[in-house]
Amino acid sequence: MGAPLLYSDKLPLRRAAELPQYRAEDADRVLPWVFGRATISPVPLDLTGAEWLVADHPIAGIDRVTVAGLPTDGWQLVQRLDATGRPVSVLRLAQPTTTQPVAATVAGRRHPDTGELLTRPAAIVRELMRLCGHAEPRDAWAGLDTDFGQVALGIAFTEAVTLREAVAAVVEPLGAMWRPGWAARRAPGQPAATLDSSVVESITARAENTALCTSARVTHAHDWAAGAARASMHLAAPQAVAAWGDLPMQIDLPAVPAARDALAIASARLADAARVRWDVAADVSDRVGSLREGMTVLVSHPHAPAGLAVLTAVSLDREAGQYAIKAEMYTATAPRVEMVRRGAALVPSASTAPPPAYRDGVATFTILDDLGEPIAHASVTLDGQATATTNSIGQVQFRTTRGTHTLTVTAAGMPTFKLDVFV
Amino acid sequence: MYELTISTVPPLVFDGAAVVSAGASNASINGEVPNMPVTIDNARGELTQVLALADVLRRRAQLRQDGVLVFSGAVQAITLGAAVVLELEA
Repeated sequence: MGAPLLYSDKLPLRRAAELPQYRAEDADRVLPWVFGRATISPVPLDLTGAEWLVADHPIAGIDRVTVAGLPTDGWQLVQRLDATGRPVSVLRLAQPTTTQPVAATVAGRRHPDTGELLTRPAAIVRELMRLCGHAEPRDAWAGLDTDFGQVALGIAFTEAVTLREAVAAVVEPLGAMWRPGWAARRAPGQPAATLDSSVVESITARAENTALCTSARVTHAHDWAAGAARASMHLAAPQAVAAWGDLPMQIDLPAVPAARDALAIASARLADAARVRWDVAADVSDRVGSLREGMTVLVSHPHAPAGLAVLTAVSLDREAGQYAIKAEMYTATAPRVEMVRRGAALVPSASTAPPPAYRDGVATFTILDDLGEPIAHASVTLDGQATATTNSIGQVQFRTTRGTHTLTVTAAGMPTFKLDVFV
Repeated sequence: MYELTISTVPPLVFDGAAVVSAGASNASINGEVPNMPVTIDNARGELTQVLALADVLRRRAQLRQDGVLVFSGAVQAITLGAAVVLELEA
């Protein structure tokens, strides 16, 4: 590759038409890049439906393959070079199909040096930058390691997006702010400067009711094959609800597969949205020292709330010796956030539970966790009345009528959640 | 003479010279006044910390002129600075 791609350039994703052989109807399909574990719809490579490209690069493996929504063991992963010398990962089906939808849960790219599966946000962003020709210092994006080093992501790039959109898709849902080579949680740290009357020329702070939210519907674990999230949860900040009523917001965390990570990230975002945020704008003398986006400053001025603020925009007029800054701050402590309800998305996806079977007045349900694995020995209550326990493959049966029902699921290691089902 | 009352606990009342101006910024053609900015003097910054901590957003607010109610609504936005601007929404 020549010069590094600009942030406004498209990722160098290939399309099926660039392969030596491709199906005409799939010519425009993008050959996916996969990071972490993600469920994708592979690109057919032949007319018989035997070979499917799962990633346009080597991968760590394939966890699961479904045909028409049903898991199959009749598959093989082949990693090979295509006719142009590019390494590709190909799924070979024992029973080819041209009519049934195929989905594969892929463990994607490995670290080019260590061979580890790339799942951490910092590792994914660094690899994206490397693939786009950027040679960055080793400590680039270190804030992602500091603030989100325990979060595992799964994301697939299956459509043409710019480098900026790709980085944003990884970083922004986490609640982080970023600029090239740098990212950090949107939260104050140690103050690097004090904005007081000796350096502030003018300052205003504005808060708006429209920025307030007291509850959140969260979706996570996006299924790129189904085109929908596989899991959701509903959070609320009870004190804020009591003060202002139910003001809902939507938080989409498509690249976050685990409910635990989604809960932590979404709770932090809702806690910020459920208190008054002050947007500060100020003209500040450059005598204050060096200022940059992401820095924390201490605001101590009679015309603005007192406290720590995070700089979100900084521009310097060298001639006037003045910064124009924007910052955000909170004067209240973060409220408590609770999970009200958790759900599995009812989408026709290869990885959601099979539809309930109904025979002779008995309905059979399969209970899956947010990763699509059956939950064994879970206590399931139908419509708040009958209770039964799932078997080893997550199945539970109830004698009931046809129609809409609510299942309340209690299982070890996870909060109780409800599922709306239709029999 | 204006008097602005915000229903926090305890209520915040601004009257006399504190209320610098009040005016309709978005009066519609049929005379409805859905929004009302009210400017309050904050010359010495004495109100800043009070209003920063009072959680005034979405609180009920009433503006009276010479004792007559001219606007009743809720606080939609607040801007702190040399002056304080409270934007009220019906």
